[in-house]
Amino acid sequence: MLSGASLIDGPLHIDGEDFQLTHLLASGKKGVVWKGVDRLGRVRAIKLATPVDYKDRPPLQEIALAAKLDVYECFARLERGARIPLPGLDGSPVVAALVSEWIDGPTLEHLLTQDPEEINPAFIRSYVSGVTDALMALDAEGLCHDDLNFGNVIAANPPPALARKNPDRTFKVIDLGSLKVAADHNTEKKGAVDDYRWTALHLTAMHNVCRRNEGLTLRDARFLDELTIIISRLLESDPVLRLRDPAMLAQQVESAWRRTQSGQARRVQHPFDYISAEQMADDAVLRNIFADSLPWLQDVNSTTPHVVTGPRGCGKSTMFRWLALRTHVELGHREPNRKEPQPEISGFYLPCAVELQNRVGWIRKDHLTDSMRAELIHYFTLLLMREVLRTLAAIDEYSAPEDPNGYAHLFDLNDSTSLQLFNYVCDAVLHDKPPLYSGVSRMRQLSTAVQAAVMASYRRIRDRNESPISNLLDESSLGDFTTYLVKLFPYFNDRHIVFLVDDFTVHRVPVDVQKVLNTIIWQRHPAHTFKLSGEKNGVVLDSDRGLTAEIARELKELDCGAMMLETSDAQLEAFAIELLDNRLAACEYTGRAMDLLGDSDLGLNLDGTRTSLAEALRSQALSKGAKNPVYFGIPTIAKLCSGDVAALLLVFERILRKGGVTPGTTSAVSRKTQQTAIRDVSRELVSQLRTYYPTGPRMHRFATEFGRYISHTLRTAPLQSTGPQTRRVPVESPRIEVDGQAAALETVEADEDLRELYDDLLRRAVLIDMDAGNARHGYDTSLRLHFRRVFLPMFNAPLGKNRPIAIKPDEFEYLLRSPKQGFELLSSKAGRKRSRSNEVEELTLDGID
Amino acid sequence: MRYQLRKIDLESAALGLPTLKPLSIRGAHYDVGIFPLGFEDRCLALADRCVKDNVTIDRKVVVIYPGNAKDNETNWPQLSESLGKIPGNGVERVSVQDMRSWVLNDSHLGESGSRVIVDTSGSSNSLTMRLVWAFLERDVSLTLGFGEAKQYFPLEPATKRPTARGMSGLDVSVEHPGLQSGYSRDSVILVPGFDKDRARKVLNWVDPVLLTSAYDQVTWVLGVPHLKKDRWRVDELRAIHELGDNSPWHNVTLCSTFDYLESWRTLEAIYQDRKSDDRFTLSPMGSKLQAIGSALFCHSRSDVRVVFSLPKSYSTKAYSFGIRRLWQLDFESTQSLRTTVESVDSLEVIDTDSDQVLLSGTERVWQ
Repeated sequence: MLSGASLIDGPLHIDGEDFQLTHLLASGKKGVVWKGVDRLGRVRAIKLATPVDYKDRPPLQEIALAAKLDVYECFARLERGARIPLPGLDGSPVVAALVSEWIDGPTLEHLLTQDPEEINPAFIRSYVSGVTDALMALDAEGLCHDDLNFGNVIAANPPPALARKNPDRTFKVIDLGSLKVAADHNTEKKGAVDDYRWTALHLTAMHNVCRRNEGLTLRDARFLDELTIIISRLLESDPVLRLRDPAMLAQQVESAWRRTQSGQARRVQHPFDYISAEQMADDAVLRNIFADSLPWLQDVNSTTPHVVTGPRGCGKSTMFRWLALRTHVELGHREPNRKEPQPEISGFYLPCAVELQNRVGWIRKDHLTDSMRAELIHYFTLLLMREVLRTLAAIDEYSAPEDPNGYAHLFDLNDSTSLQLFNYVCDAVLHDKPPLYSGVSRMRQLSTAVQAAVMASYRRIRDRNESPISNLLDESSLGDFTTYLVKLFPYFNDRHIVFLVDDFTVHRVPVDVQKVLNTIIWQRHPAHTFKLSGEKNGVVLDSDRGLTAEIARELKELDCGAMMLETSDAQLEAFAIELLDNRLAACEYTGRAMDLLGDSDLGLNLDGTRTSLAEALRSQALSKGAKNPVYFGIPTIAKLCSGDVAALLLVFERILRKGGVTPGTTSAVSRKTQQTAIRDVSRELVSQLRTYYPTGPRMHRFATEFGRYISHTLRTAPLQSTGPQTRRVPVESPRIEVDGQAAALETVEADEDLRELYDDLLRRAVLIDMDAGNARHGYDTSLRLHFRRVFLPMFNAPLGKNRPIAIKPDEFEYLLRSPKQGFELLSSKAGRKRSRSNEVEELTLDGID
Repeated sequence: MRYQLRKIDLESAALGLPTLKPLSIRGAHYDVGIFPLGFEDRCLALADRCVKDNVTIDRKVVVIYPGNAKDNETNWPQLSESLGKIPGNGVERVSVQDMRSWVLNDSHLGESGSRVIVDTSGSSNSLTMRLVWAFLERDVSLTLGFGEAKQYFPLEPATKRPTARGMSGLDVSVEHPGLQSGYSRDSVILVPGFDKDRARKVLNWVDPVLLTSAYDQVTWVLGVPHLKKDRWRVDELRAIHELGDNSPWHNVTLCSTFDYLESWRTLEAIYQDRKSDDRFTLSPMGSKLQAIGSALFCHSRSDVRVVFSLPKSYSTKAYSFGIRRLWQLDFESTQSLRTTVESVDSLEVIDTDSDQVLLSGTERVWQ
């Protein structure tokens, strides 16, 4: 009856005004809602209800109550109401008719069921902000809505003409036809759902939709968990416990959001929690344990394009995360009074382990059709843009514009600039205008919209979609975006935009995918640069479109291992001390590195010089007496590190554990315990080589024979002078130098097995490739390969280097192919040479204490 | 009125799900039958039974694996002959890589209610998980047939012969890549088979530190055979993977090889325990039914990454043989299965006075 088509035949006369009904919007058991226009053409919502609800009172009563809410923008105004006969129907039945302001926009019910992808944590916050305004107004006027169902909350669109200036949707409550005076209303009667319980039901439904969203972050998931607790309190029946204060509700949701989005504050429980950066969810933890004296930090903290190579655990990820702007923004929010050194760049961090390895790691050359290639470019560009927007969202949310030292002020990130960026991204990137909701950072909503585009692109990649997609981003899109950013935020002129792509290595990103993405990465652009990290030889430098990055000209390779080996002993010690001290301090240990580990004093030689580790080891090898510990103390431990910071941490961890160090310990761990721990770790790391597939056993053999050789040479080679006036010292030879780098590499690359072994020896940092040095003969360069230092204690070998193992390419090949025979041959060759020169081995151990 | 918020846990969500029952398909009709071609003799059993029980299948699909191709083909003549005897259309051969798109795009599966039977006897873990994923995208009535072997390898304790030969690598599942973001600790759940190298390779790949120190981040789910006489195999798994009392790997949990719901529950419990801190990688190398449990678990937990550790080939002489019994699992509607799976961890509001559900998912249940 109320929804009959005959109703649109003529106008309805309601309280002195004619309304022409145009569309039926919704119908329920007790009434319907029509869209209609008045005689001036103004659109109105017209509710027709069976008179049962109004039998005891005229609709005018609701109008009088609703009038109290006229001043609040969060309600649709109820304008008039009357009992009217329905025209054209037999007996002209009387119905209650209520006319309300027309609000354009989807209802909550529509969004939940038809556009669930729009429901995300930002949406929930905006909803809470809007609905709590309405609840506060109702409270203030002593009213209750009494029918706050899913269809009576609308996300109101802005007027079209103003949408570009202010595109935010605001939440409004409609249908004031059931308003009651709160004091007279029994909300506990059977079947009653009061306004707060409706709010709880809304939040429950939003929670359920939101948790199914692909790509929900761990932080979002935590927010939803906290939201559950708030919903429970809204539903609570105990009047003491239940949440009935709208301001409190708004505040609790905001607190939950801030708590979960700015990273969880975590105390480091133990000095050796979080060996790897990927495991640190909390930036504050990262900051607290980050050692600024990391030898290669100065180099990388610059605008130079870099490829940072090194084995797992060398600190690449930690350093990249420290360089990321978002880390510092979030820290500034969490610890506003703490003054920190800031990176020289605006870094944007993208780890490959999750969004590249997991999602595109299966792609091989034969999958790379033109469409797949284009989609990969689009996907990667979106990932980078999203990281920029997430950083800007953090600035928007955590930094007050009025704080002169805050990032929002430095960036000039305000309503106007964020709207300009929103419009740019919608036009140039998304080719769509996602709705924005009021009360929530636009940058946050924009980054969420870009994340949705990332997921859509990923799904097309996963399904190997070959249908043409319009408006994909191309190789130049990132440059256009960063150029716009620099123009909009002059801050980027001072601190250059640098994308920090972590673990961009064949282990994570297949060669053929790297080659496609390199068309973006190695494109020289004035507004941004890239820094990549990866395993040695794991980063491909050319693209599938002929673009090649040249080491030295377009980018600088920085090998963490090689840098560490060339770092002075004093710097190494400073780094080791800071690394351990930061961790001890973070978990409130009293002792510090020097207290717990001490110096590496091996006593004096007869000539008054300090006994070196090599001298002590050689002395012990050639004597039968009791052997005092030699591997102990910070200087020696610091030298164990050849780029592998994680190995250094393992050594510290083992010493402190074996030494029973507790938070209150301040005395040094015994030298014997230190040595045992160091040797244990060394042995374990050498044995671990066996587990690497497929070259593990071969790498293990090579490392074992090399270690033995170094130890053998220390014991048997005559002492040597390092200069005319210097005293003679034991031989330390942990470095192979192959004369003729080109020939050596050609030999290796000619044989697939050898190449595989050689690549893995470098990748796993068994050998560290030093910069090509000058060959001893001719104009060729030599291949210089240093043995990983943490392996040396297992062989009782020294940690220094004073004589290289100079060999020819064919000898190198033999070493790789048959390490046992190869190193034995080298030993016997050295022995024959000594015999020929009639050199008497100096086994006099005078001077060794 | 008293309202209460309730989180739907796996126990309540899975209440109506079917359990394994002896195969009973006499006279049944299926629109599609899927038969993976493996080298074990049990991969012939379901087709033979279909012939014997006068089953009709409109379309028969044989799934072809790239590995052990020659060994698998030895079963082809007999499988082909049996399928030829089942009334219906001819046989299509589809590669294992293409099965997902085949299920997603096949127009005959378009209408809801299509009846599908899949022989999981010769199905690898990755194929089983792929098929479950794909059918959850469609709406079909799905019967998973399963032939229990008479003998499983190893036949006795301390058998040295490995079940696999060499390693061809690790594959992140395209269906379950782990939609993760942000930083968190890596945690690995291994459902190991009788091959030490395959399990170690997964740990090494995720993070070598899991092999040497971060032992608490690895959980081993060891399969318990349903026949008592085979229970020694649990100790064998412990021995092979070095999980004894002195092992640093202390997170070891047991789970039936024969109950997909128990597998799901076990994985869910591990996940619940550490979900707020860890990023999970699951590597299933266990039984077929465990793979079904894994597939449902992963569908409900899209942040879990699945990694398959693939041998170059399987050792055909070190594998199961014979048929003890045929079983089936019937899912009436894969869409309602999907709703069930997705409801885990969602909230519902109940009226505690009447125990009536007021809101579930996004649906307001009361009037």
